[in-house]
Amino acid sequence: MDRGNKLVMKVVRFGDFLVLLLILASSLFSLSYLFGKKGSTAVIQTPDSVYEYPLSKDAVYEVKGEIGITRVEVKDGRVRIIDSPCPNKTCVNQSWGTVLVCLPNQIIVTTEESGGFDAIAE
Amino acid sequence: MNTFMSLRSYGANAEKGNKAAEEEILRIEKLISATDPDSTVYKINNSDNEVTLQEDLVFLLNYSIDRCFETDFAFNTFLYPVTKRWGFTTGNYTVPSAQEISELLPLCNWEEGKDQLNKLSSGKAIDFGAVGKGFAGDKAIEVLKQNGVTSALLDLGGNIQLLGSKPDGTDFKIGLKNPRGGEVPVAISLSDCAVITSGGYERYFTADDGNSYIHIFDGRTGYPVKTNILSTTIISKKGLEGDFLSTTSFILGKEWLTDYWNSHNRSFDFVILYEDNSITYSQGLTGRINLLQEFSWTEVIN
Repeated sequence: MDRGNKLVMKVVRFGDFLVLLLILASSLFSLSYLFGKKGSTAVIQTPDSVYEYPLSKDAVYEVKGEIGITRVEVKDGRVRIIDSPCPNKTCVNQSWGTVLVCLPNQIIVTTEESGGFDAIAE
Repeated sequence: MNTFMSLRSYGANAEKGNKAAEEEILRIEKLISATDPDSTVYKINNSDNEVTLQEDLVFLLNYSIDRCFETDFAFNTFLYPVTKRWGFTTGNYTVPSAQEISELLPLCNWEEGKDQLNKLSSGKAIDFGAVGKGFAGDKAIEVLKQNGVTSALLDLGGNIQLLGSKPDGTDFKIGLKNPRGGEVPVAISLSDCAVITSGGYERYFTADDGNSYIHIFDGRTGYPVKTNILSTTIISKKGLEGDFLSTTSFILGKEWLTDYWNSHNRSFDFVILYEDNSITYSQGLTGRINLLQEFSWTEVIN
């Protein structure tokens, strides 16, 4: 009985998490679509800061999130999260992508075309 | 200012600075709005009494009067009676007759003398529409500095004003609006300056006669500017200067701007986009400017 309840809880939680992730990812995707499709910069948002790294340079970056350090790898113009302090490692399992999210550590990784402008004069 | 505004400041003093800068912009608007019945300019325009002028207003009025005379009133701060007749102040657009314009034009000048800034003859009116945003932006940047902010980006209705560089020390990347709509044609890497664009695409109406009339007027004729220029962009230290120069170069063209640039120590830079899909820019932008589309030809002014 207990076991069954727990299982249901877990399924619901994971579902919630998925929905949240999907909403976030789709809004981020439309954002990144607005700014361009050809990724040339990795943008890493943390609770404190936003970091931008060129996708042209292979490197591993460490950023501080809500619960610890997330390691992000840039290689061959792509980006992935290779280590995270979060319990379920969903972000690590996403592997390469244009929108990577780690909710527990509050890290969001996106890619932007070099045409990502700070502002438009008009 | 019935316009979009966004202010992005970085660092520990960002929140405090933003709040103060926002208040400063609203304060300036209360001085210079031509439509707010409580503003000082409204009172000057709509009453025969002498009005007490604030220091900022005296400065802006003096600056504008000087620019009017410098450009033989092609740049005209006193054109309100004419632009109002065209409907650009209300949105009820009409094409006035040539006679109406020639009757209104004599009101659109300044003969009052600098000691009489606070009263205008009946029927005359001040309109800071061309330079008000740039001036307000300068004041906001000053306030940010006073509050210890060293890095900020202010977008005041498309006027971009930069304080310092980005927090990581790199330049801000500013795109120029495509006058025809669509992809950004030009990107410029910049810090600590104002980027001000004027273009006929911003506001215009199409009349029953089938012609389009834009919101930028030649202050000498009382008619909207007709030009092969799509937009002019000025990169300058101050937003006020950028506002004046972008508007005036849109009216008077490349030759005038180049002369002005040469006679003012090349202390600013510029980009002009033309109808034939060509582009002109000043040499100071070399290495900072990035052309993102095919232009029919490119001219770099040395």
